[in-house]
Amino acid sequence: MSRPPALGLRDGLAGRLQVSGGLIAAGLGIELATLFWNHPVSFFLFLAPGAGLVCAGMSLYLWSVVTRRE
Amino acid sequence: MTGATISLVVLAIAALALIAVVVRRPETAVTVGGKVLAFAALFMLPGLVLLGGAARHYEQAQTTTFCLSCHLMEPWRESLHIDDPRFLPAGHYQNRRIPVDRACYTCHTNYTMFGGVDDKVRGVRHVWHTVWGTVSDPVELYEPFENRACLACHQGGRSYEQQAAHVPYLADLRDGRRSCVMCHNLVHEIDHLDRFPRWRPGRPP
Repeated sequence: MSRPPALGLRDGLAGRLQVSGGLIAAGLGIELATLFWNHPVSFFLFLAPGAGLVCAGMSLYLWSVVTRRE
Repeated sequence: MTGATISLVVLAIAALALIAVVVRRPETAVTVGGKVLAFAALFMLPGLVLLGGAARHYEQAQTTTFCLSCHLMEPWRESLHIDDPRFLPAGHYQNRRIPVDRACYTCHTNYTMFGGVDDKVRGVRHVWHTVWGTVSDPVELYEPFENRACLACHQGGRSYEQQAAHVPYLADLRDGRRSCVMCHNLVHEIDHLDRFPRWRPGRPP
């Protein structure tokens, strides 16, 4: 079985996946923290930085996949 | 911690673990298995946590504990314990005419098609004004109290529709030409709370 070819830097997919992962991980961390706090500020934090970061990461991932050069 | 919260925590931890794999070894994303892994880590699992978390926050934001968790609302919490049944919120709360764990929401949501979303937008406005110190003094509703909140429960009820004082005004009350609180005007009265005794559950009269 041959080893999959390494992604070239020119492709940029590797970097974008890493950025996407970082954004989503940060958003999920915030969302996790808000699950244990029943307060209006918690709702605000979930919505603004939490959901915002996760959506940004997911969008970056989808955009990277769609615009990837074969 | 509820079962839903535990499920969300497990999903989020699984997503974080998979993200760690993708971030450390992005080159795996060129194989079919790697693509599936990246899709699960960077789209599917975070999406599920996002939707589940939003639903949980949406539910949680309807609870009395949530509404009264801001110290600004302390007088309104006290007003629910006024020992006088003529006071509308106190009478409803103490006699379980509304669900006590959703007391604020039951009377202050607007019962329209997108009322729940509208409530959340208003809630974000509350937080915004509180954080920036622009809360009106005295605190007031953004819009006049609508009969819809009362009629959601009372309309069609015998004690409401056959009450002699209501009969001449039923159509006006239904169409919002006359407000329920024009007559039932003892509401939270937070400026005069010190004048009234309090009812405490379990304490004999």
